[in-house]
Amino acid sequence: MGLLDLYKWGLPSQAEHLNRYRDNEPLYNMARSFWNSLDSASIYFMIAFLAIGLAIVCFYYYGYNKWPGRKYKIQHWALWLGITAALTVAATLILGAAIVSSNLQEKFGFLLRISLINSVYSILVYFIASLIICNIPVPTNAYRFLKIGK
Amino acid sequence: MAKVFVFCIGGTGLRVMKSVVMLAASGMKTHGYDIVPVILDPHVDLEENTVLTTTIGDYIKVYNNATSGGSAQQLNAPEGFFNTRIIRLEDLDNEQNSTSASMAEKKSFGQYLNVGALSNEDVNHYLIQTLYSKDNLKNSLSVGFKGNPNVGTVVLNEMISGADWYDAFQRHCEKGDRVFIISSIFGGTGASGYPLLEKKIKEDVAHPQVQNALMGAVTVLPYFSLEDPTTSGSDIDSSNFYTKTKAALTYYEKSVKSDYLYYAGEQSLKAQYKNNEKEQKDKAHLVELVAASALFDFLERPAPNSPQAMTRAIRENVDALDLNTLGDGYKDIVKNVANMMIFDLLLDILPDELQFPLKKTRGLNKDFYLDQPFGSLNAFVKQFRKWYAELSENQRGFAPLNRVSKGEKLTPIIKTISLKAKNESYYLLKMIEASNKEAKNEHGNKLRYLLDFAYNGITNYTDRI
Repeated sequence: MGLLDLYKWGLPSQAEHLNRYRDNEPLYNMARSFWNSLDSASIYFMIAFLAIGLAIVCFYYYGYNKWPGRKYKIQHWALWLGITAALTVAATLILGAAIVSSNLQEKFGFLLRISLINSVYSILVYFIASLIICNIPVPTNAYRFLKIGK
Repeated sequence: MAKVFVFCIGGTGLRVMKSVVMLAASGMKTHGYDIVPVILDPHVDLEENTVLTTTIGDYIKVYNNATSGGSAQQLNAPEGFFNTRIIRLEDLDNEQNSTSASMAEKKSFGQYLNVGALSNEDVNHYLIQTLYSKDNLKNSLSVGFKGNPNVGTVVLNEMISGADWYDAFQRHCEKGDRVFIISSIFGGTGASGYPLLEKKIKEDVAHPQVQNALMGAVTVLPYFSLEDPTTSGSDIDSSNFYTKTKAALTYYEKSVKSDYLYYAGEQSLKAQYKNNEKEQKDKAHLVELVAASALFDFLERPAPNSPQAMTRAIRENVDALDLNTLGDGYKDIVKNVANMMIFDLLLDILPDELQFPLKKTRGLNKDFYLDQPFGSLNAFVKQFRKWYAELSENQRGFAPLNRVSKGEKLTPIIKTISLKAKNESYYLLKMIEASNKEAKNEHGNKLRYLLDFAYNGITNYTDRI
């Protein structure tokens, strides 16, 4: 199982993808090489959503909340959740364009789908990290609304 | 803990004591002394007497709530707000009677002297006629001495001798305790009470700890006038205040021996009050605040080699005083009053601050805001706000703060300087940071957390004053 499997639920299968070009050998080869390229780039995509999700959640709890302006409110937490998602989309698109080399017309569509999936993962990372931060005894100025129990 | 027995004599004594309580609540330091107020005013029906007794009771309630650690554990006094312990004299004895109750005299002065028993030809009858007017003799003692020190001297002397409150004072005054007497010099009760009480203490050879207690006193010079008595029908004529003051000062010069004697007064009688000795619903005044500050000054001074006369001035002669026109000597007072007024703003905001982090970490939740400790604190702070409003509106006004309402910019809250905190969120943030610095739930007293963290948060910005 390759790392690309992480995105399988939002992408067509490899067979489905290649089948579309089975009558045109040069395009078929191009599609296969595109798929392989995506597969090898998927580690970077994963690093991107993890890094962005964790960096922003840490910034929210330990940086942003050092500023006045009632930053501890849930609406600010949600705002940074949205920023995490948007930044992940943008970062994945840029990363994909830089790493995945292919002239296949579908490239952008694929990268966009992967970016959107990545943003979902980054949201999950942001949420899970928030849940952990709210329940560990490390001081933060933010409101620990995800704290379990009293 | 050492104590300072604060004797508040007469109406001015009551009003100055109110300022003492307010300053103590705002965090003025007494350098380790507990305050034991002793109210000496025969005018027991006076609303101000009731108000002061209630205010002291409210303060004690907040202090006790803030120092209770649960399950008989006692916490130290808070660092900032309500930092001083105030104990009623009757509480030292676990009794319920107030000192004033035993001073209440429902008789007229004439009945008190038993003038009716003297025949018209008796030489004492002529002596009394010479010393006292008919109005003097008819006056009910339960409304005080109506600005007649010649009446006060006679009545108070007997009231002090053998009084329960004086016995309690003798029993509880220990080595290292201090005595402070607050009175006015231009009325009846205070002007006569101060030298009498001082003499009684200084001559108390049977109780060396009483006799040798370091003694301070503040005597308040005339600072208000009253409506013309011919129109108000009152017995008090404020045009006599200066004459009475001069006479009393001449007497004080040779007879009073307090280690520190503070004089607080005004250049002219700027404030005019209604001439109603039964009610005396007078607003808080700058001079009372200055007189109250004398107690805090006295408590940080060592024993002098000889009696010291003290006074304090303001920098500029203006009607509404701010930090600049008051002068540097008032910085501490302004800072503490500002702290409490900012705290008042925060208390208005906090119950509605549903996502305030201390709700989760320190239990400052809805239940806490509906509970008695917070209610008592909030009620006291509202009294403080009213007291400051009176001070700022009076003539001359102590008005170093701008009126700022919830949600408005807080940078200019102190006139003439600009604070870095632009709005409430700056103080709330510092409260959270203060909470984060302290060990988690070291005692569990939520009110104490609120007081400590709010003080810490507020002073973070006001310390630059």
